[in-house]
Amino acid sequence: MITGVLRSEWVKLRSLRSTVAGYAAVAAGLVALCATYLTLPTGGTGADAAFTALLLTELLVAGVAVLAGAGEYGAGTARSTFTAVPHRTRVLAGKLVVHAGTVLVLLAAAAALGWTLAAVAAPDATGSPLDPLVRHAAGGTVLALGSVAVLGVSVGMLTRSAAGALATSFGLLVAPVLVVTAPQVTAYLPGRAVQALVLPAGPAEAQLLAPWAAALMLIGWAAGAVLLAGAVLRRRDV
Amino acid sequence: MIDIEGVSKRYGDRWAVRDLTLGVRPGRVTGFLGPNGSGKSTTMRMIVGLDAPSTGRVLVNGRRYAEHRAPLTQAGALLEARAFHPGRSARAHLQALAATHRLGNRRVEAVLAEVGLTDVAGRRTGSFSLGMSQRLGIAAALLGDPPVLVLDEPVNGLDADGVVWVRGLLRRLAAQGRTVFVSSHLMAELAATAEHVVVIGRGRLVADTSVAGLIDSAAGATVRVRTPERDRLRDLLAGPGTTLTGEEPDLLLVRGRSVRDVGEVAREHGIGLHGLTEQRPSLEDAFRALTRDAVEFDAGQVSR
Repeated sequence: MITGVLRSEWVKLRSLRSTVAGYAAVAAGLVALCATYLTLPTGGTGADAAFTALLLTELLVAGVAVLAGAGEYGAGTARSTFTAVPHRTRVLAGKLVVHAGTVLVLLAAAAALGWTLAAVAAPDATGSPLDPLVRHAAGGTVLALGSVAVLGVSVGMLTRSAAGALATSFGLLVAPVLVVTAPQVTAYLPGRAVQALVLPAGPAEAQLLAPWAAALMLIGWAAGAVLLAGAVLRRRDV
Repeated sequence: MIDIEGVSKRYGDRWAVRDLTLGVRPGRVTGFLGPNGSGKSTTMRMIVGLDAPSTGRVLVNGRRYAEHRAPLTQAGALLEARAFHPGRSARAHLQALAATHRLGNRRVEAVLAEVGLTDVAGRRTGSFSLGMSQRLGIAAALLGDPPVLVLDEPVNGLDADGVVWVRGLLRRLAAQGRTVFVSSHLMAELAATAEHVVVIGRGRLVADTSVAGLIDSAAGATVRVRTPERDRLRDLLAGPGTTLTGEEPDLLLVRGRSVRDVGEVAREHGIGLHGLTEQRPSLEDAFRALTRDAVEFDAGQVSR
């Protein structure tokens, strides 16, 4: 049954022009992101550029994931979906796997492409993919974007409205980075946790968590959203 | 086979369905009638598990819908005309549903052909008319070839050809031995197809009867007499259980006596008749009489 749900969610993903376009944008963002990572070991403004690219890619991933979750409700697709699959948490699980999986596959492809592009365009300013800083950023990005995709789908299914879900997830991802007055709070929100995980050398005033703590925070946020969405889906009338 | 057992559903402090018990049998079209807002859609949503009953339970082929391993092969439902993403093609919508039950693309093409959407299956459903949306919804309901079909207002938005098509389809499905449960807020719409009708008003069961029985249970026939000696005939017919009215000098409307009775009384007393007809209530009249007390949003009671 669950493989059927996975296939169904995959059909849904690729049969919607907006989702495909969204993932194309994500792929472009990922290529840019991976290219900027390679300038990290050479210092300079590499970290700033990488952070901008990371934030943009994060938002694109969140946007596509949120629309995939909330999109079920906008036009009533949810009625068809949950009539076909009355075990509603399976639909949530299928969506999570398909969308997080798509992000990670795109990330792997983009990493290969980004590194090639960077090495060809600016061989002198490009560090080695094996540099510890690059490896750390790459590993952190896998966890970060995977979590953002999971968070986005869950928030989308929870709020059942694209506008509400977009506002919520942008609030969790962007607001913590913009608000500088309460670093002791914002450090625990996903936006700063992603930064701490991927680029630990952030601004001192942000009071970033240690990378391992940031990883736990992110996993906690994603897991919490999944559990809440699952519980609500089971209880709520469609 | 659908068994609704003591089901109530409450939204906030309002009861949408109240203590409803009924069985929908296979092999015939069962009409589900009620004014707007009487709880028809809520009941149908509970049949396929989209809404959970506050009390009671609904069984489809002996089990709760959600407990079936392959629910689409047990019951198919059309609940609202548009239940699909406007940006997705009709074919992709059905393929996504079919994938959950490992039904192949061949089955998708078969139901597309059955509802006459093959030519437009690649188009995005956002461009579909209401009638095409209804056809796609019916295709989705048929996808698992289920023995039970639950269709909420399936002829809504269809043109004349579409209405004829749906009626034929419903009869065919019932003739194949399936349980066909079809809602409508218009009696006339179902009179042509349904053999059995369930009527609800304000969420409560009002009638569960054959179409013929529905007419009989409502107000009886009226005998319409035209005679120059109206007042004399009126006095002769007067008695307990008989109501006599008539706005015109030579017209008498008699309720509670048969047309034969009235004719005989006139003959015995030598009263000449210029007209003697029986008026049976229409299905619509019967339906309105039954639900009159149960109409929640009666247009006549709207305060200004």
